[in-house]
Amino acid sequence: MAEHEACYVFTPDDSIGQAPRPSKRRKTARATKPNTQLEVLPFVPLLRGVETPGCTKARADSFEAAWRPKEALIDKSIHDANLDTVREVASFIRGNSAPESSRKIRTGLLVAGPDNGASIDLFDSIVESVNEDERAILINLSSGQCPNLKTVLKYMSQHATSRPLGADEDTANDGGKYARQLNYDLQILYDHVQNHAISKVIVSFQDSEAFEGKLLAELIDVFSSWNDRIPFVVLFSVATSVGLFQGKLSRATIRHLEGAEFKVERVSIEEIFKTISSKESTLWLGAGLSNLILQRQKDHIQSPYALSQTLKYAYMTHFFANPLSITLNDDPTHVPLQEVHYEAVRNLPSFRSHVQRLIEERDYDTVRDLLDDDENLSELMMNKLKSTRKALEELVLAVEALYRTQSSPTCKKSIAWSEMYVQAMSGELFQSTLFEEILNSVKKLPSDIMHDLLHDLAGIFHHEGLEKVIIDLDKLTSSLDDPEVPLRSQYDVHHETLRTTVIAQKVSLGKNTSTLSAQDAAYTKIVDRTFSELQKKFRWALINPQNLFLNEALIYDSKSPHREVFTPRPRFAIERALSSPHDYLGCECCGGAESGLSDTQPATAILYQLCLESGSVINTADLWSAFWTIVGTEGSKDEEVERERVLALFSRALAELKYMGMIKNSMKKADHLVKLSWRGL
Amino acid sequence: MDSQLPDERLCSLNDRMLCRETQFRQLAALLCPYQPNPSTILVHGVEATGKSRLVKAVVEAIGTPFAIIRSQECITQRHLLERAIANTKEALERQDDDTYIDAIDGRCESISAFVVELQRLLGGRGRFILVFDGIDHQRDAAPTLLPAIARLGEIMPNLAIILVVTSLQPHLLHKPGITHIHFHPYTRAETLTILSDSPLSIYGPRRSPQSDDSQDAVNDEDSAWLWARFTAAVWDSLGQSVARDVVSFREVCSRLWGPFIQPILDGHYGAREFSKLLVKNRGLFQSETALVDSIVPITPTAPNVKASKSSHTLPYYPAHLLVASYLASHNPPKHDITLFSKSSLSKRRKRGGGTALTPHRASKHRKISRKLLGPQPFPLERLFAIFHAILPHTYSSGGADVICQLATLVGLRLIVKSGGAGDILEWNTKWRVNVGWEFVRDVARGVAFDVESYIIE
Repeated sequence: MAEHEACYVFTPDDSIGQAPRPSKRRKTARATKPNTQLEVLPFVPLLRGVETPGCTKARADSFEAAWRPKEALIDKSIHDANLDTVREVASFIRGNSAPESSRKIRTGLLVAGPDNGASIDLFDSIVESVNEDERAILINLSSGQCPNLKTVLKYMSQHATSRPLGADEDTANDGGKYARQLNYDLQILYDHVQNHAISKVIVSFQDSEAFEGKLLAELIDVFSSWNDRIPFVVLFSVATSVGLFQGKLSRATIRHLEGAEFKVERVSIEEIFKTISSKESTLWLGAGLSNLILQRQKDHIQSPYALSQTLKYAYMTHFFANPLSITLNDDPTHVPLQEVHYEAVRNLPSFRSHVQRLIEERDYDTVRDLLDDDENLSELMMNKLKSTRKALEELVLAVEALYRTQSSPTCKKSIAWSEMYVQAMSGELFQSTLFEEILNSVKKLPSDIMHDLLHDLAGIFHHEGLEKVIIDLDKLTSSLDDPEVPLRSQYDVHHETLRTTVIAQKVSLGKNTSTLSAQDAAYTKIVDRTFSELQKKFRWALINPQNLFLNEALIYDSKSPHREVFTPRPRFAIERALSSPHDYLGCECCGGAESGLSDTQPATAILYQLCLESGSVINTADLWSAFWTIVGTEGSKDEEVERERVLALFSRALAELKYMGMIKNSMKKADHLVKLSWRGL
Repeated sequence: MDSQLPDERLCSLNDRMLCRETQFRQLAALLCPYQPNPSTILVHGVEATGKSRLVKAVVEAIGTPFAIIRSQECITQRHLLERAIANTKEALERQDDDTYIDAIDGRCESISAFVVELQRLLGGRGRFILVFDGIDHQRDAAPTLLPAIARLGEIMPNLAIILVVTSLQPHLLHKPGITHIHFHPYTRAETLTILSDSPLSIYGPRRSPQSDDSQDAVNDEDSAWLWARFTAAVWDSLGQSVARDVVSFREVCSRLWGPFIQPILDGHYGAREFSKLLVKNRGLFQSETALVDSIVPITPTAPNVKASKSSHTLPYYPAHLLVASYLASHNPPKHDITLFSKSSLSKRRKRGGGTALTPHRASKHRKISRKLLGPQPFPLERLFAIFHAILPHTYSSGGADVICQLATLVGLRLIVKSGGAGDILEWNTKWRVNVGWEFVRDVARGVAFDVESYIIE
């Protein structure tokens, strides 16, 4: 039966009528085990399916190996950031309230910011911490599960006493000594508290703002009436601000509450990004993708959890879709590469540029070997992978060093670590003005700060020239008469004085460098050496990673999967589908008509485009005549039939537009339509 | 009337209940076992006038078995009735241990079932008192509940019902001739007497029991002396106008007490120098910070101390969405073209109104400022249009991110659905902003957006 038919004549199919009753489906044999291969392998074979299961599995394994440590690091940093808050809140909960305010409910307001994904974990760890000393139970409430007072109380009793959820609406429990109890009676909770000697009942509100004010008021009223028997502690997770939250509550409700405000420390996005890209990486995120992710975090959402998800997705995509990611597996017992893998390597841009270089060096034999002999290529890959990885590690270390240098007092400009990383990954950092500025600021440092900086840098990366400089600097400073007064180089602003001279009624400003002491001059030499050593080091480290051989396997930088998954554009897609249906249909008939209307397009699309052209109020008759000119075929034999056909199309298209909420009937003008949605919003 | 009091217990009780002698005597006389049983008594009076406390004390002292049911704890009417049955049963069993009433399971879904159960419980027994505390605020109560309960005494002559209510309305019980006992609000003298019963100490709680007793006695005396004067001063300045009831008055006093006695603790003044303290701390009595209820206790200070600014950390686009929703709520749609069209930037006039040349006609209707009218509802399309208009750069349209952020803002109740019923996905759903000007201004400043110039006043 089609959907548009209101009723229809039932014509039983003969074959069905005479067929014997189908046998009952019974589970007689044990179900065959599902295909184990599918179970084991979350990834599909790549390279047109030629890849062996072993390789596919190796990719899946290397994803696990690459991501798990990172995930643990992120979790740890999030957990560490919360640690102080947890301790504070736990001690607040444990603390005894003052006797005079004992009638009030102890309340903790946790200002957590708009990202409330973290609050459940936070509450859990708070309760864990409280439970070290005394018995406390936690009841988590979120606005979704709390439509009204009865449901909340029922949920609370059930959750606290861990009774199985009753199917009946108001079934009574034979809990008490004397009476049956309704399941929303807090007496149940009270009995439980008594029986198990619970000292704190913590009720936490996950998204406090989303709760209805009336419900909160009622709930707190009930709590306060039981507060002399059940030791309630209420925790609110506040996303906006305490003032705004309190504005929602009535004064009578607020009078029942007394407590403190806690600021939940958030781990910064910057920190997580740094953790992920600096420590023992197997995969590096490219400049474009990093920039995209960071920008989205900055502009749209600020959530460590979302960032962690995004990064995980990036890792996953790389290992899922890039067959060469198998080479990242450090496991000595890793599966041998297939022929197709070598073929794939030969198609890489980085391989081509490598070959190009060899040709320029007129090393034709090696090129021939690389192209023909897999063994030879494998050897090259083994060597080059190591060096590429080393180079990338050095790159990140250089960023770290540069970031450290930037924090010195003479450097005025400062940019975030992640931004620096993005610049370095795109290979622009070395030529940038920022780099120059930072290095120049080193020149102006006095000896004591220079000393610290050099030691820090030596800790970050190993560089012989720099170590020699340190030794020389130590020698120089130890020979000083007064170790408290730091040496200053000639570049230091302290050595410059402004001189004003008036010549022929014109004032000219001149900079004058005062003469340097012998020690300062020696120090200046050291500074010059430091500068050149650093520059040498950075020039060596800050290469463009795109030039590295096999960077395609080690750097993940494709933006479109991220964009499609995390920032889809549903509305834009609908609008595009309607205004240029050819983009999605890919049919031949409308291909030619790039922007114009044609009768081959779907009726809804035509009508939509007509609506776009008109103003906010549309005359239906005009719309119909326009539609008829496009769709209707003039001069057909039976115009009446044609008209009916087109009218049906028109009506359906109109109904579809209405259904999508794009137009509606006008109340003010008869036979007119009002446009409800506008394109490009 | 005195002769009718059963024993001295009641007299000693009267001393404990301050300033409620009349009501006490009335209630005690009515409930006296030698008197005929009053079927229903209505105790009424505004909040914090000692109704529940006095009733409880009296029925406890009289010796008749009783049960108190607090409506505040009862979620539904059924809950109230079943609780009443359960409490009655418990009270009867407590009275004489040997009778165990097990025939009744306490199921009680309607008032008629309640009456039957109660009759089975109390039939052939002595007097019983049922106290319904705060029954006028019973949640989810049928309109017949109160009149029915008021008539219970007619059916059961051995039952006395006491109803404790805060507000008295005409035709509350639909039954004339019920004894009303009024608990009037405490007067100034009475309030001060009650407060002086439990003075706060200047020097905090006694540090150790071994400390000098005579010193403690002096301290207590000083504290009581100062407390009495202090409470009187608070009453005259703040209490009589805004914190009349004892509970809130005591709260205000205890909030102010700390800063008030600080100079004594600092050693600048002696404990008996009340007038000097008053002059020194006059700011406390002038400012109204002590009257503001807050979850996080605010220490009252002298005025002109600015509260610290709270930081609103909304990311860039959500902040613009919120500002756009504020603008959509507070600007009439007819001005949208002048305000937001990018083509006619030069034509945009900032504060609305005409130029000097446009004639000023007195409007027929009195204009009410839009700020006073509150936020007006707007359709979602308008919000998106304004959002795109106020962004300083073009922003790719139709993305899920914006929709997602809008959902977050709605989840935080910064933007709320206007009007009651209907699915949020309906085309005619309208929204409005749920935050005030100050908040939006701060948010706009956070993203360096000049919101003032987009508001028609």
